[in-house]
Amino acid sequence: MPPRRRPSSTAFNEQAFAYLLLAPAFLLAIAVVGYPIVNTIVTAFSKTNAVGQLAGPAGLANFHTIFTDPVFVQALWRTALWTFWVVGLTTVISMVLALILYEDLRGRRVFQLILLIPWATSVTMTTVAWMWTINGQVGLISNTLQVWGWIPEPLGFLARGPSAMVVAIAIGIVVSIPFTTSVLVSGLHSIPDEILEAGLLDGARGWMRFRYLIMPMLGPFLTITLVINLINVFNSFPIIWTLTQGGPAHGTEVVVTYLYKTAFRFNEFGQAAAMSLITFVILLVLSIAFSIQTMRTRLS
Amino acid sequence: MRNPVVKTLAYAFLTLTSVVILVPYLIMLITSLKTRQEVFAFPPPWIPKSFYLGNFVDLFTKVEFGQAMLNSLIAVGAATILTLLIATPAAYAIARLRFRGRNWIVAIFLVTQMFKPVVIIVGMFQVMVFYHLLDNLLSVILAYATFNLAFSIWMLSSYFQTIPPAIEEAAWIDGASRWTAIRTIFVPMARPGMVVAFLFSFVAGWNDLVLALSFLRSSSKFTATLDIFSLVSGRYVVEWQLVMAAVLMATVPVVIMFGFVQRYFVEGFTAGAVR
Repeated sequence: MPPRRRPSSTAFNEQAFAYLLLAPAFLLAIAVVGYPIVNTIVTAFSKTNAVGQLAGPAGLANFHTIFTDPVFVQALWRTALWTFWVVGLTTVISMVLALILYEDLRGRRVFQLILLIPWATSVTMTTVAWMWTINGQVGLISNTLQVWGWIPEPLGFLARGPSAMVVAIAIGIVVSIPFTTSVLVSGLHSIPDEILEAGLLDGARGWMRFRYLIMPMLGPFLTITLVINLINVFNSFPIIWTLTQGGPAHGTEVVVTYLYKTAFRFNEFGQAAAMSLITFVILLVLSIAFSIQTMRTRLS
Repeated sequence: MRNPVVKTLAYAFLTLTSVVILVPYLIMLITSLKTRQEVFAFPPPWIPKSFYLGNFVDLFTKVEFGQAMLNSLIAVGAATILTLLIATPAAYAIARLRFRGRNWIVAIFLVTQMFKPVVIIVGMFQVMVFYHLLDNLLSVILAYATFNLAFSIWMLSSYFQTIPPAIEEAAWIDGASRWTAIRTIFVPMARPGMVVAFLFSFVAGWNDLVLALSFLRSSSKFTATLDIFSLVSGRYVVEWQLVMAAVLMATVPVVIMFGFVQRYFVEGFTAGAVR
């Protein structure tokens, strides 16, 4: 059969067909995400009453209120630290795990199965399990250590802000490792064997092999995990909300927990919406910076 | 890895990580098999005396955790099916068809990926009030489905691009309509990608706390995650033996399901990275 040129009407149909296929996704996205985004923007510049309804324009008043609120400024700073430590340590630990799991070690499969467990557990449930593990009053570990005389008083990690934050970061790392490690392992497997073998002949071993052969090839995979972890951890709500709800005395407050509290405890929807916009702008800047960085590395 | 020192260090690192991951689950198992008296005894025994199974009975009779599990199954299941039904055609269009505004649409979907539910929770709440969907499982179903769309479309379309168009075109030449070709050739070949989209949607819904917490009010509507949260949060006395039994019961089936499909999971996640 000779190749047939498509008539122009087919091209039109293809376009119409494409729009038809995209329409449901587009409509749902507008109804459930687009509309709330517009609503959040409008609310951020409005006064709101006790039940969260709009009560006239407010200009920049909401933004002025939140930036003069020391709790919010503290929460912003704490969110940066929280994101840095969780994403940073997750990346380092996962990279080591991935390099180990890439080798043909005995027992590798067992460990890969263990890694599935936190992935399959709802983050809230993992946090609850950790709360009980480190519980001071009736927890097994705390009481046993006390009976042995290793600690003078029950464990009280959640009673103070800084130590509660350390617990939250540890849980954040545990729940982020499975995904990150899995992506990096499959990244390592995608490196053609010839490259590593050729490198071996040229004497590239150990750190040299990692720095000049593995790292450049792993780049796109590392970027994917960094971007996804960055967005997820920056916006992470369940760990801190389950552990401490931002307490004690705002000691573990991050932007999203304070945002939630401002809306649903203090009924200040306008201020909460203003916090949403700030969060969004930060995420946008981060993402753009990341895309530019990625493109630069690809081009060079 | 021939160097014995490096090998020992590697095993030490794996063991340490495994212990950190597994200890809470071990304590969970021990606690769920204890009676209330044993849990609150001092010093608490590490090995339960009676291997008491009553907590698992109490989950259904006392705290109605069965209802919460069912709600999760309905909410997450319906959202996942909805995601696949809507994302698959959209991904097909992006992967295969030429149309005006294609790049814009891809960009818009990628931007929505940055919005996590908690960031626009104020707007989401107002919209659910407007739709009269508060305290209705439909609210979380719609929200989960929509928040899964961007990733699913992106993931599926990069997967679809790996399927050679020639196979489909051969079917057209044999007289199949575009639709028949999609149904009989494309969808079966795209199954691994769809499994990943399914799993991703499942995990996202399963992990959600903030949407359920904001939209669902009566405890008969709670999802499993929200129910466990409510059994712990802000309580003076937590019935840990019940909570741990609940977490165990909610987690084990998912772990088993994950074990079966793990291979697909990583494949799909990385389809976009390498192409």
